[in-house]
Amino acid sequence: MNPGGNMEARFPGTLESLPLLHDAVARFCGGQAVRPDAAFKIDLALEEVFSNIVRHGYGDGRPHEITVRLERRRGRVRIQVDDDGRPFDPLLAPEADVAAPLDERRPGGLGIHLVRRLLDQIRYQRRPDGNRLILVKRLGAEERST
Amino acid sequence: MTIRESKTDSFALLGIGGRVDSLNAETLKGRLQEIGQREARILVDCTALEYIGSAGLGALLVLLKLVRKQGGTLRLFGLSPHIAEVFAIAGFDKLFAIFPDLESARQAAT
Repeated sequence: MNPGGNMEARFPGTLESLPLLHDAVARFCGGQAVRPDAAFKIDLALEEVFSNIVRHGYGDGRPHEITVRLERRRGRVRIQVDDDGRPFDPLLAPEADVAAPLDERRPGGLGIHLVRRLLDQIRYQRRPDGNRLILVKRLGAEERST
Repeated sequence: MTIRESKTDSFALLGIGGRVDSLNAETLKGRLQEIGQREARILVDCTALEYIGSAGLGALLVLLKLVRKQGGTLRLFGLSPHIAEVFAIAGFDKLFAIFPDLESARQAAT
């Protein structure tokens, strides 16, 4: 294992990239001895963020790319997601009301709710050439000592 | 993602396996809508379900609404701890009837 390891990969901004993204996350987590519980949460959160960008960030019919950078350092995994879409801050989107009864439940907003709950930090930055999301997952004590 | 359908007693038994992500959730949703329109008593076997994101949860929500509207029964069983946690965060543990295994799901009082 490389304790200060990182991985960066660029993906076409389409949902067809999701299996490749999953494979990249699995390789990174396996190589960095991230435990299955944290790996599952990173995998899910990243899929939600990536899908959100593909669904809401474009709309111009042009090809786009999304760059994902995973870094393990100081007992946590830092995930950076850069896209070249229109300004889109997922943290401003309305979250699902997960306590609502069935009749009032709507499918929207669940993804970002999951991301907020599965990870420890989310930050959004609008940049001149696109959007940047920084996500942090803290690792357990056993993982931190490895 | 795999979707298997069979029968057990008076229930339609639906097995969802593998990964349900935003890419294949529409396929799942289509199958669930079709099944929900013709079956009133459904058990969903999640034993082989490795992963489900918000898109897949949305597909299950559509099925639940369809079944409830028709006065039917929908029960889930065999959720791994990871999947159970996702359900809990989404509040789905309060919406769905969830059981540890096939036997308990089958025998639960309606």
